[in-house]
Amino acid sequence: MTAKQVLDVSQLEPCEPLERVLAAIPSLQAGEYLCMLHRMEPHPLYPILTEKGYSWLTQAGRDVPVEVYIWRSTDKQAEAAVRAETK
Amino acid sequence: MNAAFLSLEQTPPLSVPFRFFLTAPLFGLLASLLLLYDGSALLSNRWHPSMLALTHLVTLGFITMVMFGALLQLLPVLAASPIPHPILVSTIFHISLSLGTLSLASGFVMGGAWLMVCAIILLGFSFMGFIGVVTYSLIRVKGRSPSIIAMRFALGALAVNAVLGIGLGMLFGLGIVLPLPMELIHLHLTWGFVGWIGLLVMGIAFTVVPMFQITPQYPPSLTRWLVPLIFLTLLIWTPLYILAQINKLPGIVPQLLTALIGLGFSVFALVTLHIQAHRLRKLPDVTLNFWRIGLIGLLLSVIVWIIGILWSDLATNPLYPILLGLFFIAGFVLPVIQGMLYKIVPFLIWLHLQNRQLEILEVISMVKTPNMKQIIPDRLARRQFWVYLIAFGLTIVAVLWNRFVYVAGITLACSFLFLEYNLYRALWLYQSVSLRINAKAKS
Repeated sequence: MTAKQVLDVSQLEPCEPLERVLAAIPSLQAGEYLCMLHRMEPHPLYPILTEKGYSWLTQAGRDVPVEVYIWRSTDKQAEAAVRAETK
Repeated sequence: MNAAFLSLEQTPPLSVPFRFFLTAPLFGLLASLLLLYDGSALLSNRWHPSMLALTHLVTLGFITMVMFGALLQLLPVLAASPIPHPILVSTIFHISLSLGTLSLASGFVMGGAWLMVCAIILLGFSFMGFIGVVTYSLIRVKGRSPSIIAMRFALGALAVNAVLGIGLGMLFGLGIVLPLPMELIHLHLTWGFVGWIGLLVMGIAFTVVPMFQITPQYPPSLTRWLVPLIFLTLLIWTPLYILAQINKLPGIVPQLLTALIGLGFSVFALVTLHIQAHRLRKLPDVTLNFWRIGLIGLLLSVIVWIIGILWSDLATNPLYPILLGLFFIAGFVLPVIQGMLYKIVPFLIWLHLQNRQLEILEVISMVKTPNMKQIIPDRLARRQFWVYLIAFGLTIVAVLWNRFVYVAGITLACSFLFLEYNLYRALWLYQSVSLRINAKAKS
């Protein structure tokens, strides 16, 4: 089973990307992380993630302009997997 | 990236932009009522006092009102540069702009010098204060997005326009003699329409069109250069126009520069239509209809403008400047602003509701918040779009055949009332969901 969950919101109009990601992150299991594919950097999302105990890492995407990796801040295994993938 | 500094934490209270957004259609309604009251006379002469009142009710009461609200809202979120004391500042500017516009329009219609003095004081205070506060905020901006650059130039144009407007107010109201009054009026019109309104619409479009209509980004060379180049051309044009008017320079020189400005606006319209045609999701979207009508209206304005330069007999016809102004204001600016409102208002309401429940509720006990399409349903916005489009068409017909003025005025009034209803309904929805969130937090 892969630890990576992919959520492509690159063609959704505002409010939908944020709604989708907020709906997706509570179901992340231990060791899992979410890779959100977006056409722009979702700045309104970041303070919400911090508030809810998630960490994130943003980088330029391969197929879309932006990739945002999200994991539970307490989940060291997921964080290591994100660091390995984005190295 | 355009939205690189879009930040939830920086969002000012909802009442800051909403007081402006909800007031603007009421001024549109007042303008429609003036059309009903004095339509036949005002539509046949651009210098008719009621025509001057109507023009300012729309340009100050509707367009500038929305622009003030949008800037006070967008600056903090786009530029991460909050406006100091947002509620106090927005209250002061809202009241002074509203009362100043009412005084000015009444001063034109009733001819009272004291009304004109009130207008000069209130509008002068409102504009200079607004320019000061926004400049303070823009100086501290952390990013250099094309929208921010355009806001700076538009604000510069507003300053020039406000000084010209105050001077002309003194001329009309107090009889203070100014040199070259007709030329000053032309400068006031050009700096207002092209500089303040035109450049600001462009700057906001650079962010909101790709963001909300899921289009490809504007070409970077266009967003970087177009607004500064138009502003620079306008700056060079100003003294050359005066020199041409006093026969120190051939008239063709400033006319060539106005043609360049027209070309710049046409490029903006064509590129926007192009990226909208290549949007990633081709779903029906009423705001796209508003934008397309607006951009076609802009192209038509430029064509009418250029024809007037080339064919001077047409330009001397008294109906020509009225039709040109109508195409630019009612054909371009008003549809585009309404299209922006139908995206910005639901987005802000959604953002504030989301923010509010994240502050006080756990994820597990979240209240279901309406999405953007539910906050202002597409069917309501679409109906209002058609009412507006019919009103615009009827107003053009009324300029040519005055007997249509009443039906045009009534349709225009219906259109602004409908817009007010749609915006107010969205606010009501916000309040009712907020109450549900509060109730859930207590339970």
